[in-house]
Amino acid sequence: MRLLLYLYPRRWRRRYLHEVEAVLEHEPRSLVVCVDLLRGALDAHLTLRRGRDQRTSVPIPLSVGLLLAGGVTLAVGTEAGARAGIPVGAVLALIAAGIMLRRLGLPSRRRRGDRGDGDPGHGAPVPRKPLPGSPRLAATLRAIRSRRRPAAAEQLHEEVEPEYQETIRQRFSA
Amino acid sequence: MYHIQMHRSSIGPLDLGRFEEPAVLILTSLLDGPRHGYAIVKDVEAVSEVHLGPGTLYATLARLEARGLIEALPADDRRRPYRITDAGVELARGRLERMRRIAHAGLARLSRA
Repeated sequence: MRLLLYLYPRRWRRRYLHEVEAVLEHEPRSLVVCVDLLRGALDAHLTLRRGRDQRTSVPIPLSVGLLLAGGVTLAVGTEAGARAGIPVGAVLALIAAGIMLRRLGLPSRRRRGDRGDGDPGHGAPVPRKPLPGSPRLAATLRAIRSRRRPAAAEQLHEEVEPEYQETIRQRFSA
Repeated sequence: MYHIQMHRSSIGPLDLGRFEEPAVLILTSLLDGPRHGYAIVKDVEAVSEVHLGPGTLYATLARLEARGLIEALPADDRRRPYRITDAGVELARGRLERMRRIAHAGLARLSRA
């Protein structure tokens, strides 16, 4: 049953794994507990995704409406759609399914800077760790790192004050 | 429709969804003092005859902690006790008083029936 705990997100496990293992020692092995753990794992994934990805803005009622419209069109309009040569219902249903998946955050990419550490378990967005030094230097470092240009880093290394040179060296050796 | 309205009014500003009932049970358990996971499970079982599975228990604890209704204390070996916060006490008071009103009204109507 402990293997089921590895279905949970890594951030969740880092925070709760040992506690849940301690509770599981007292639980009898049963299907009910397995289903409960599976539901918990799904919930943890969805909660973390929702907390991480706030970019989706399509409301759920619209998504559901599109899905229903697609389903109805697919069910009653197949013949008309076939005459027109366009599977309208299927297209609508696919769009709605895509929107709903996006709403759930399933295909979302990881936010830059979110490496899975920080506050786990309840999906709170993880703030980026600020770079030390001046804001201008930090912004420059971020821009250069994103482009992966070692030459530019070397140039910056020589230009900035000595107190920042160590920071640059650490950032690029990481 | 009645079910939906009742569900919404019981949630209030804290949208706990299907974890509403476990949340009230856990908060009620923690009113007696800090407890770790298994101690919460046993106490809830003794008080309400409801068994909280580990998945439900920790999904609810995470939500309560995120909302500042409980806080985690330093871990003792693998067990980490949780303590109810002032906000948690207030929420528990509101929910329990509401349950008492429902129980009172229901029992009074049953006695008349």
